[in-house]
Amino acid sequence: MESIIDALVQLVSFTNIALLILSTALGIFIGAMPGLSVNMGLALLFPVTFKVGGLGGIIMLLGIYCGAIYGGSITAILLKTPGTPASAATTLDGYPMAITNGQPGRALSISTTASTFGGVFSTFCLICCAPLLAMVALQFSKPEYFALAIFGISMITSVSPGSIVKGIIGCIIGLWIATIGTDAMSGLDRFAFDSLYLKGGVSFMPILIGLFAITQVFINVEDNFGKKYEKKDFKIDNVLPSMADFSLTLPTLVRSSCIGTFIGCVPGTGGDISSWICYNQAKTWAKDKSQFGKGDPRGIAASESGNNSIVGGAFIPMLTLGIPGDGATAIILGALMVHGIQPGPMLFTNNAVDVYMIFIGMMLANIVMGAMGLSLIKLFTKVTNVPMVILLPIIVVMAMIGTYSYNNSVPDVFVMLGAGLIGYFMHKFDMGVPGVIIGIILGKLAEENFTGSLMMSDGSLSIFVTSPICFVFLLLALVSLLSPMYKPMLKSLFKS
Amino acid sequence: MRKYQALLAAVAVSMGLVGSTAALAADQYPSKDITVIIPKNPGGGTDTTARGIINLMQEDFGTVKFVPVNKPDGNGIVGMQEVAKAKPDGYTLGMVTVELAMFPHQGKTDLTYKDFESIIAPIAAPAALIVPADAPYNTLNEFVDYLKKNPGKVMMGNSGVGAIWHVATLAFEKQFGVKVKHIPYPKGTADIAAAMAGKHIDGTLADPSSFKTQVEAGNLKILAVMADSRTNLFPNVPTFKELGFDIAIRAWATLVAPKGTPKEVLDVLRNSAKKVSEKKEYVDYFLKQGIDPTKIIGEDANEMMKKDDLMFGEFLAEIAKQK
Amino acid sequence: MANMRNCNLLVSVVTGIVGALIATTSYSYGIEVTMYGPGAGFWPFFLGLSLLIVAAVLLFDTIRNSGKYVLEPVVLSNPGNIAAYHMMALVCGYGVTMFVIGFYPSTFIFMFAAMYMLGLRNYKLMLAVVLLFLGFIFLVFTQLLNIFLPLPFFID
Repeated sequence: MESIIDALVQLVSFTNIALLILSTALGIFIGAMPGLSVNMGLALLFPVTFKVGGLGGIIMLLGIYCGAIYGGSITAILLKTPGTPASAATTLDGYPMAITNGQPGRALSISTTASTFGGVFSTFCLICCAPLLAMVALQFSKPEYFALAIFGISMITSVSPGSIVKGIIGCIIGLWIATIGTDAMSGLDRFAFDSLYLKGGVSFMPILIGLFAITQVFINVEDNFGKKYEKKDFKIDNVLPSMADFSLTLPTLVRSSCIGTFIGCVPGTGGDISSWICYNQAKTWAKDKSQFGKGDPRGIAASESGNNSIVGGAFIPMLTLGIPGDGATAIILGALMVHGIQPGPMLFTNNAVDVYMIFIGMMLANIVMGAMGLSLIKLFTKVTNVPMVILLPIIVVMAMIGTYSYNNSVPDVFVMLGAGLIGYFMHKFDMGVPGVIIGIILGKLAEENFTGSLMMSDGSLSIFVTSPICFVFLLLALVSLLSPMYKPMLKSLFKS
Repeated sequence: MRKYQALLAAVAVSMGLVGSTAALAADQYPSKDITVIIPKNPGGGTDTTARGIINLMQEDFGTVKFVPVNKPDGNGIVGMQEVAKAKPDGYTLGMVTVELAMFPHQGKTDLTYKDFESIIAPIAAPAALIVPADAPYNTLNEFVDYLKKNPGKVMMGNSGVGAIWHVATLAFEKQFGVKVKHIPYPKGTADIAAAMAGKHIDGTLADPSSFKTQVEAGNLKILAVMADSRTNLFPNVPTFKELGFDIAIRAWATLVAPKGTPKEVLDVLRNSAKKVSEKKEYVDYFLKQGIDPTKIIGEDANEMMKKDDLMFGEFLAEIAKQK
Repeated sequence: MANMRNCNLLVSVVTGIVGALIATTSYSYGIEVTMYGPGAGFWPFFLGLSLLIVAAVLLFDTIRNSGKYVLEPVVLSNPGNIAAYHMMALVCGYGVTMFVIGFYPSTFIFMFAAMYMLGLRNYKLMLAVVLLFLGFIFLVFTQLLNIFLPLPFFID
């Protein structure tokens, strides 16, 4: 008990809270801007945390991390442009609710509440059962990762807006794009045609920004042609979600936070995967699916709590084993080590006070993020009143800046433009974009672990059925993939 | 009249002096921000090392800033090419990694160490032979014996086919005449650490910093390191050299300037780097992250890159012949 | 006005061709499964193959439900679309000029052109927006975050 009080005393000081607020604000900005990534923000701030020193530095990194994952939802909801890949799924229901249905305040408040819920929930899991979850995470080897990836890909049949067959085409194209470049499993350059750029692989960010931001600009140009500017009047009485919304989304919040914490705790998987799986699960378990894709609050809640619960989850292997779950946790791990905190199996025994400080720090970071988000909702909704004439060019420029500064790469900008053009026609031809995104995100995970599993088993496919975790995920994937075929049959069966 | 002439002469001379100092002052390096191109993604090992060292060197340089720019395109080759082709005036620097010594021999680029002048190599992580703590072998020789009795069964993780740790494992196989099963983990050594902690593979040859926590917790043990001398982090671990096998493979990262950068500029940078590398902050920054910092400066770093280039050149040519 | 049936046919043909190309290129990367694992072309080969299969399914479905699809219009050439195409040309031009004359000049031109194209004629407002926005970018990106934006090709 004393250690907890010790930790509280050391942590809660005026400077620390001020630093937390500043860094969370910076994090939200970085998250909202497409192209500015969490890792970039953390890497930028890494040296600054040394000047600040000690605990303040760690708090700042936590603030940026939580803020950035949340910030992506703001642009996702208001502009249909995910600020971070983890918020891509939020666009599916966030944008329709905010713009098509004219309820931006409601969408933002649901997303902020969901993000905070996810973050706090996963921190609780971290505090209560970190070692247990870490042991489950360690069971994941290549076959299990492959099965998880396949499970993610199988959702394409239920998540795809528009024609399912065309959605599958998009998904396979996405999977193929992920194979372009030097194959780390064999050393061979694939589909690179002697281009140095292609050998490094086609970056995901430019495609994401192009398919979402640029395509949406073109769609808006078409939709708003000839329309007169109307100022929309919103009265936002309460920034918190209504009781009705909250009770509707509560099961979704809990389910998605569990999924997100688990996925976060498995090293190598992140918010982008988690948000899609949670979205799909929310849709699967909902009795009335008709509103999904048109502004169902559960869609927003699932995606946002799914991606923010990664935070607590990713800290589980990081603190208990000293193994970072992704690039962002690797940076935080480095910062912790430089500040004298040694994560790993010895952490809980040697530095109990430090551990409590990290826990409390994470709780505070999530709460500050939620508070800031809620207080800024009224400001954010003003964006929807900016006339399209001014907003659209600004979005294009922001997309350009974001894409260029991501890798400081010229070809990336052209990839983004190409994706934007193709995305427009995909939209016209009723080919859903989520498929391509899911394919690119999961492509490498699926293929590298498939190949790696066969390397481990000397070419034998039995490795995929001998592991229980792997087998279960593959089964779930099959069930999910075939669902559009048998669901109508089941329905008619039950009716009669 | 003479006084007048003397006065004129004095004015002329002093103007000349003032003029030359003004010219010198204008040429004083550095007078504007210095760009450092990092050919890797932000947050990775090379990136945090680069940001760490330029941050420390920053203090010497006052108002002039070091601006890190990440250019991971084309496996980092695009970034390295940009540094090599940049104007050699000291305002564009870059980081290069041991891949520079390997890529030219793998047919991936024409760049070599000859295109750069080194400033400092702050890290040179040796390949460490890491196995589970409960493995039935405690020394390098015991491990080799086990391998000879079980060819092709022991799974060794690496960070990708053709990458440094895979090459190190191939060198190991060749040196001892054994065969292991290579299992690539393309995302890097953190994934290898996870796989070892979960007991999915039997060992690895990789840089020990990602495994430090597991080793200290007693879950893993290091049998030997491929370095010229023992590392400060694990002083009880013998080097391959001590055990009679002269093999040293390190993953280094060097801060470099393009070839042709004038000596005065290089000297300023190298002196600053030297000063920084002796500071306690520098050593602490790296040690705490599990990296044993090195102080290989200037010409020594050039030598190191040259040596590695020759070594990899020979070795990779042999591997290619075998195929 | 095009209709969905023709678009589906187009999509299935293009997909089929792309799938075949991917499959043949992958074949050359080697698709044998040895004890060292599958060849580098194994996975993409099956991706290419699946594309062919799905393209065939789409073709079959389109032809079978031809009647239904012909009735679904695909709007490609009314004034709204033309405006979108103009914007596409503008954005691509922006992308190219950005690397030729530098970020700030090309953004300045682009924003004016885009706002004009979208119908705005209030020049004072346009100027204010562009200057404010570029100022914001300059402050936040160049000064605070030290992120480089493209320079004109004739510098350095």
